Parts: sequence; structure tokens; C-alpha cells
Amino acid sequence: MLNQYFEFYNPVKILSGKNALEHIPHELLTIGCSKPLILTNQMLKDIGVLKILLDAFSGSEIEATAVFTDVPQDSSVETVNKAVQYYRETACDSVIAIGGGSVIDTAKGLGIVISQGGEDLRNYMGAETLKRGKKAPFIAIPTTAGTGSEVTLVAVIKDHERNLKMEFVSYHLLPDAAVLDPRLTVSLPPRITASTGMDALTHAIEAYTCIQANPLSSAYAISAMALIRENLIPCVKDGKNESCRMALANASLIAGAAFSNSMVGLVHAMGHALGGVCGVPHGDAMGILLPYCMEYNSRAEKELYSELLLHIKGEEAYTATPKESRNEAAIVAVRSMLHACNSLCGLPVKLSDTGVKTGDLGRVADAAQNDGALLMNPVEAGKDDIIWILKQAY
Amino acid sequence: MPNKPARKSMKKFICATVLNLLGRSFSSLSLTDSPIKNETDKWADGIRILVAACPSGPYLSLKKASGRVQYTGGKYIENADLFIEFKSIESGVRALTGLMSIHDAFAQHRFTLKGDIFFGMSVVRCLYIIEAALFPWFYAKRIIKRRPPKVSKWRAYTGLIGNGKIKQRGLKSVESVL
Repeated sequence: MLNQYFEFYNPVKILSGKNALEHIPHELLTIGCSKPLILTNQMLKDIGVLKILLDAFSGSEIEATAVFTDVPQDSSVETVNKAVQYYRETACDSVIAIGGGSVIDTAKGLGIVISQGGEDLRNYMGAETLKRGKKAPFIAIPTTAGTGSEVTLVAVIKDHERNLKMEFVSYHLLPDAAVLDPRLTVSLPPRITASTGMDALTHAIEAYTCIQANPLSSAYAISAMALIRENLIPCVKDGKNESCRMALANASLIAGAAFSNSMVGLVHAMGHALGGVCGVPHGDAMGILLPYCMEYNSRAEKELYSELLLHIKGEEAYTATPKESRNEAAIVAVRSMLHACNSLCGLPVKLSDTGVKTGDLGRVADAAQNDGALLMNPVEAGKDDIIWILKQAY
Repeated sequence: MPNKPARKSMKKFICATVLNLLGRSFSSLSLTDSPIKNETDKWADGIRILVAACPSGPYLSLKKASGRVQYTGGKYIENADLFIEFKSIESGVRALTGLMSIHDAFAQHRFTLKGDIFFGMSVVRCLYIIEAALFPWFYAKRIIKRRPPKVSKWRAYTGLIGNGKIKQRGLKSVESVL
């Protein structure tokens, strides 16, 4: 592994734990900011999550009055451009994103336009082409434990006009700080907890097995897998358990840092395509596809997938399993986690449970082939292979 | 071993040669060969692609026009729809001479990509297939995860002659003799 060239970059300061939000005013002041634009969505405002953040500013020198709540379910270029306009009109000097992947991606898009001094996000599409520019300080506060977007260098933003999913990859998209506070995830329903947890597990497994895995990203991935192994099912059973909540929030962040530096593979390529073509929620698609893609990959990468058993199931199970069947046991462990989630909260285990039609599978395979994640997979997968996996998972 | 300027010039020369060959083969295969044609048929007419072996070139410029991909030379062009640029000549020469796969080059952040990444994947897939066709299999298999869809080596090599503009009819007649 070490004789291969790799890059690793994770400058994000992590504020994790009880009342972590209360430290945001101090963080802003230390980076010389006093007027942040707060990005979120209407739902988070309605259920009081935004208020928790705003309360953290009371009595501080921070003027937290510019709030943009119009972020839709899927981040769009139009939303980003509107947010940029609002940022400039209100003379803000920093950005705080509080929400899921869509809100954080919107903030990343806004950061791109601000740093480049432009008007339209469409001009900056690509991988690693952005100059640093005048970057607006950016704090990300995830309200789910799955995407890991608060520590990744990627943003995906839809251009409705051209019906195009625009992808941006740049180290300059990384926030200055990520804040994990248990108050933000404690009220998540079990179904969302399970779905986002499977997403985080997939990030960790793919980060560990993809072709750009390196010693640092693998250390992060192993740590994330251990946290998910111990905490996902207890958290789905008892969402009020703050200790489990924080463990999962950290697992999601750590897995995010892992895959930001080693990228993801086949499961994500197919999951993105299922989301784009059939509207399958990302975490649900990850949970369904993960064991089937592991089966496909482990035929060619048996040793690598055997190692996963140690991290997914623990030391005892690893040593008790004969060497030749450890890769299969790792897949069984993932599958049993998925089935446990299914019986606890109805997380789907088959594609047929999600409303996907068999007639859509060809289009899903076409879309998956154009996903950059496919290049990172340790095993080549062509259109026929992808259709075969989809049929297995149906 | 230090990378002396003379060595870099040699590497640039090698890259310029390989890019030229790639461009001509690409052009030829997009007209006649089904895996490349299937891929490039989906590209919009008028789309322009630029590949740079390092920030100061050499370059490979391609354009889709009249239903085929045309090799438009080795000069820099402004405002390409997709611009793939290797970060250094060391990375460029390794990827272009088959010492490193295009997948590994992408995974190892060896190049930047300006434009639609999803379209970039289609271009990368084509380059992968053409590399497999141009290099002998014993050499190509070190960098290729699995044999890509088979393309005609004859067409890949004959594309090197005449700016990749050999007529389909001519190719067929030569192949039938072979």
C-alpha cells in the first residue's frame, strides 16, 4: 500500500459532544467572523432544530440574523445562486450549514461561487480545478449521521435547467469546522437512523476496499466500522440513547473523512443511479446493495474482504471463523445487520421493496457506468455485471 | 533519480507522440468500432475535449462533429467542454505509456478534470478501451482490471495513418484480405 502514491487531507476541526453548538460563537470569533449566513431547510426550522442553533448565539458578539431556509430536498444550482445573492445582500462574512447532505452541499456550492468571486455555480464544475480564492469560513453541522458530508471534498448539485447532476470535487470545499451535537440527532426516527447508518457503514467498507485506500484512510474506516458495529442496532432500538447517537455521529464523520480520501466504489455508483433513475433514498439503496456488491467484489479480492470480518464483527468472530470463509462471514454479518434493521423499523432489504421496476434496471446500469465511483472499485464492473447484481438484489 | 530538464523534455516528447497516436486511434475507432462508437454516439455534436500531459502541454484535442470524434491536433484550445490535465509530466508519462492505469491516475489525484465529471467518465472509459487495444495484451494486462470490450487492433493501428480519416469501406476490404 505504501509504495503507491496517495494524498490525504482532512483539516476540518471537529467539535463533538454535549452542547458542542455553544462553542460556535467562539470558533467564529477566532477566525475573525461576526456575521454568518445560516443555511438550513424549512423542516428543520419547523421542528425547532434551527432555534437550538440560534439560541447558542444569544449573548454573544455574533450577529446571527441572516437565515436562508429555502434549501430543497435535493440541492440545486438555482438554490445555490439565490443563496449567493442573499449572502452578498446581507454582507455576511461566513457560512454555517445546519442540515443533511443537501444543505451542506448547498453551502459548499455557495462557498465555490463566493471564493471565485463569480455569479453562477455552473462555471466551476469539475475535479480539483478550483483555486482557493477568497474562501468564506464555513462551519458544517450535520443533523443526520450518514452522509459524512461535513468532512468530504465532494458536492453534488442538480442543474434542473439542463437536467444534469453537477459534481464538484475540491479540497477547498472542506469546511473549517464540523460540529456534532447530540441534540440534533436524538429525535431522528428509527427508520432514518437505520438508513443513514447503513450509508455510513457503506462509506467505511468502500473506503477500506477501494483502489485509493491508504494507511490513513483505512485507519479511519476501521474506526468507523467498529463504532457502527457496536452502536447501530442499539441506536435503532433506542434513539434517545445519547451515547449511541454520538457514537454514530462520529462514525459517520470518520467514515466521511475516510472516503473523502480514498473514494467510494460500486455500491455508490449503483446507489447514485438508483436514486437518479428510480428515486430510491440513498441510505436504503446502500443497505440493499452493499452485501451483493461485497459478494461480487470478494470473488476477486477475497483476502481484502476477509479482513473486513475483523472490523465488522469483532476479534472473537474473526478468530473463530476459518480463514477460507471469512469473506463470506463478513457478508453474512452485514446482511444480518440489515435484516435486524428491517425487523426493527422496516428498512428494505430488496430492491423490489422500494418500488423499482425491472424495466428500469437497464437505465440504472447505464447511469451507474457514468458514475466516477465505478473507477475506484477494486474489481471491474461492466453494464452486464451491474444488471446481474441489480437482479440479485431485486 | 533527479528529474533533469533534459529528461522532462524527453518525457514531453514521448507524451506528445502517445497523445498523437491516441487521438488518431480515437478518431478511427469512433467511426468504425462498436464499443467506442456506442460510447461516443451519446456525446453531443460539437463537444470539445482537451487532454494535457502536464500544465504546459503537450495536448490532445478532440471534437465530435458530423457524428464522429475528430482528432483536431496537438494544440491548446480555449474553452474546451472537458479538460483533463495531468498535474505533472511524471504523472502524464506514466499514465500515457501504460505504466499506470487511467483508473489509478484518477484515484491517485494525478489529473484534474474541468467540466462534467459524468461525461469525463465516458471519455475515460474510451481511453481505457483504446489503451487496451493499442498496447500488446501482455503489457496492457498489468494496468487493466479486466479485458475491456474487444476492439479491432487493426482499426486502432490503421487510425494512426492519415489523421484517423481512413474510410470505413477501405478498412473492410483490407480486413477481408487479412
